[in-house]
Amino acid sequence: MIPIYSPKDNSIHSTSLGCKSLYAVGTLVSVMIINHPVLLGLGLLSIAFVFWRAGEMGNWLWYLRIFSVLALSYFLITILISNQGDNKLFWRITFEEIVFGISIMLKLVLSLSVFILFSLTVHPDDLLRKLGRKAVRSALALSIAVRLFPTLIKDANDIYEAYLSRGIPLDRGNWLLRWMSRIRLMIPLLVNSLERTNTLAESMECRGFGRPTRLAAGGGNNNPIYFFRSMNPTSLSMVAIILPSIFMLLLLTQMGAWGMKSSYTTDIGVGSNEVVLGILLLMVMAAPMVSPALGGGAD
Amino acid sequence: MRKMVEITGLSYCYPGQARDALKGIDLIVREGEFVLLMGPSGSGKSTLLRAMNGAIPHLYGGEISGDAFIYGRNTRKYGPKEFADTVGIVFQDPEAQLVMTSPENEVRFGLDNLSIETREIERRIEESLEITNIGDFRNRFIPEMSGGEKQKLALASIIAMDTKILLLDEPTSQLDPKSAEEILAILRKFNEERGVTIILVEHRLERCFRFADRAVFMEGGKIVLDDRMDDYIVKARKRDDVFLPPITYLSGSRGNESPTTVKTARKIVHKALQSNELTYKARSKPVRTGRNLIRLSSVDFSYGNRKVLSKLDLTIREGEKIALMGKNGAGKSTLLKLLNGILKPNRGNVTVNGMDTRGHLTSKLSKVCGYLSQNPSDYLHQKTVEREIFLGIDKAKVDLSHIAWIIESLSLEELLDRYPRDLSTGERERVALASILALRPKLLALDEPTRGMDYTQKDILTGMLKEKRDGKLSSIVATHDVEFVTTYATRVIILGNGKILADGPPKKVLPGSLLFAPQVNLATRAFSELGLREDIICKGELKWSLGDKSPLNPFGERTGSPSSENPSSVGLARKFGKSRESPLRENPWNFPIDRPMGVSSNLIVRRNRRTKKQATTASDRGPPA
Repeated sequence: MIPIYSPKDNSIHSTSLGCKSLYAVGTLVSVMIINHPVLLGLGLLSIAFVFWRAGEMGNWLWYLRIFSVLALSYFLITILISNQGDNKLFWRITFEEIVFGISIMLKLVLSLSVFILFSLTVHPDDLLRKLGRKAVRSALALSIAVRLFPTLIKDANDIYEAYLSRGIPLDRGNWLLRWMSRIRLMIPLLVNSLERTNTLAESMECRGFGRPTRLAAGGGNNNPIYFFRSMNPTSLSMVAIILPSIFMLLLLTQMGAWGMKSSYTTDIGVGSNEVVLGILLLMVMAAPMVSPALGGGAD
Repeated sequence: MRKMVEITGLSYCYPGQARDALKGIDLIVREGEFVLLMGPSGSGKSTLLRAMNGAIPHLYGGEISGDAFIYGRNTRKYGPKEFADTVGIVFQDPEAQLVMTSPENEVRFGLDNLSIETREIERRIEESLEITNIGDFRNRFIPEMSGGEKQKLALASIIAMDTKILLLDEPTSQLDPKSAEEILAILRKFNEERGVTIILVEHRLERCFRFADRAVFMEGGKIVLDDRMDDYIVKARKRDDVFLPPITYLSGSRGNESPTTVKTARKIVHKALQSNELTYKARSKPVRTGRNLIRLSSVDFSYGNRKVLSKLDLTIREGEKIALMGKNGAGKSTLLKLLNGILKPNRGNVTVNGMDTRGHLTSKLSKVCGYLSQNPSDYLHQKTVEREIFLGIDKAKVDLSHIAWIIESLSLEELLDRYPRDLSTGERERVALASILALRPKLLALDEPTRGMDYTQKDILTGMLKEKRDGKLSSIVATHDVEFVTTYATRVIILGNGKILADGPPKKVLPGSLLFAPQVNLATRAFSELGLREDIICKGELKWSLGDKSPLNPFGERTGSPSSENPSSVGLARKFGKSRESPLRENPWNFPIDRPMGVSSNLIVRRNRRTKKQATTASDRGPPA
């Protein structure tokens, strides 16, 4: 089954949405400007640490299996089609191309990992609350999607089992044939999902979704239709947001020269500068996530 | 009392349908009433509920005539969202009605829509979750909750809205007796203490009959009976097509008292025993079984870290009719899936007809063990019912007499050309069952097959499973339906904590159970010193001494109540032309293949073609292998 969000009681899950958002943005920006494969490797290590703290290591590895195929394909294409660098290793492949390919591969994995981390640790209802009325329908759609995703997977499984129970040999042949035969399930799954969507829509309307506020009962007023539990940031969570931001600024200042470094560098040695920068990067990426006190917990 | 629901001359037809789902409905429900809405599957109960909150016609379209006023507002003008503060509705399947991902936010969803003050929302969330006993789960991820918990949450999210009317469409159909009892107790509390008007659709009358103070019976889109409970019972006995729970048949020789609770039934039985009007009538026949069909040895099974079955040993023999019981999450469905190889055991072995499930494909094992899951819709994806039945069977080798027998036995003649997804839950269940039976398995593994079925359909199902036409057909049925078990099973297995807690004949297992004892047993077991046995589980085991005046059950057997009027069940048997054994006993193997049955033209053509080709009839063939 595809891993999706499930609540867990740990510091990463209970960290405020603001921190997680900042972490995601910070990491993505860092990934964009850093080309050094060692630093990107450190970034990967740091995000692995965060996944571990979040209790999502298994889920991350599940996704990594898929990403690795994508990343390796990307790496191969990169080294085959680019024609840069002087240090030829074999055939027409140069050392620079390999370094660049590794960087691109790591960037891809890191970027996707950030999104995975965000979706595995952010409660969709929190997102809905935070976005409030501004994007309530989009956020609600996201929340429903997360809510129904396990149901969809279960439906697919149930339909598959129903077909097998009727003696239809979807389980015959090699893995490719078996996967191909699953295409037959698409239409039944779609029909099932449409029926479920219909009932869900009915259930939502029956509970007043889209109802004009003037009809509100129980002393109704002109409040917005959605005013989910207010999220007043605590001082700790503010600190947790501001501190990493300062670190991020520092990092960006330091990174200027690195960001402009040639993509096809032959110098990938690790000196004291890289170590300092690496430590800084690790701190920025992991600091808001490792401490419940800093994270501030749920608002 | 104020009129909460006032429906006058309401007729309704779904878009694209030729037949009206509702025909001239007139109904008034007053404030604080608890109305039990009954009727055969497909009689229009759910449609009527939807007409009471404006979902019909606003969400469904179609043609409507007549009016429905809910709390003074016409449903033609106002839709379900406008009625949300007045009418709350809980559907049969909780999975399809929960919107958010955590219970707390699920309850909050409806309250936010009503624009209720934040502080008030917090209070209502707290209270509704506590009342439904799911306060501890307030931050759990909804997809990880059990079916019972989800149904309680669906109810909590509606009662938090503090509506004046509650509409419930079979809210306990997927629940074990304990969870169902909890849900119904909450409803009664709301009705009695808060004066909430409740309209409940339910097929398992033994669960809820005592809570209601008014009964409405529908058939063919019309209201056939509408009375206070006592009057309903009296009228129901005079009619031949309405339903009563088994406990009401313990009405004593004078027939002037109709118990709706075990407590009153016990008093009546006590009186009857003292006046020697009631005696025990032995009914149990020795069960003949054949060779071993399925064997589970030391089977362990887990979903991730959650252990479901532990060192389970079980043997199923040919001809056995097994009821698999246990609370929600006890592992019943898992066990059924292990039987035909959908799931493979973590440890131990499952052998089906000598084949280890690990080494064989499920599609092959299904020819021996047919599995029908809880949700019949998973099986229905063809354009017509007829195509559903023929899917998966080898058309060159199909025995049309067998198919015709299935169609007739399950009363599917009139549904053959219908789109399966347009059918009611009970009808879908029968079509899905037919599609499995068409494979001629030696063992049927059915998961909650009586969900959405009325008493008549349950009787048809029981008759079919007990029918001897298909050799020594074995069946194992996972169910919470205790009353169904008393008529169907020859063996009852109770699962709990991953193990078999009890295994034996129903008369041994059920009477001792705190959760699964049938109502008739509860009413009679205290009178062993007066000559009654402690293991009586169905009304047919009681003999009333006023000769032929006792009523007949659907199979033409005397059941105990001596009302001189023809009781409901006689007509049911007559109406559906079914008997538990008689027609099939008369002609068990020789189903006349050319007999007009009302099956669709395609089937008749194919049947005739095959008949000509083989120049033989089913009657010549004798019993199928």
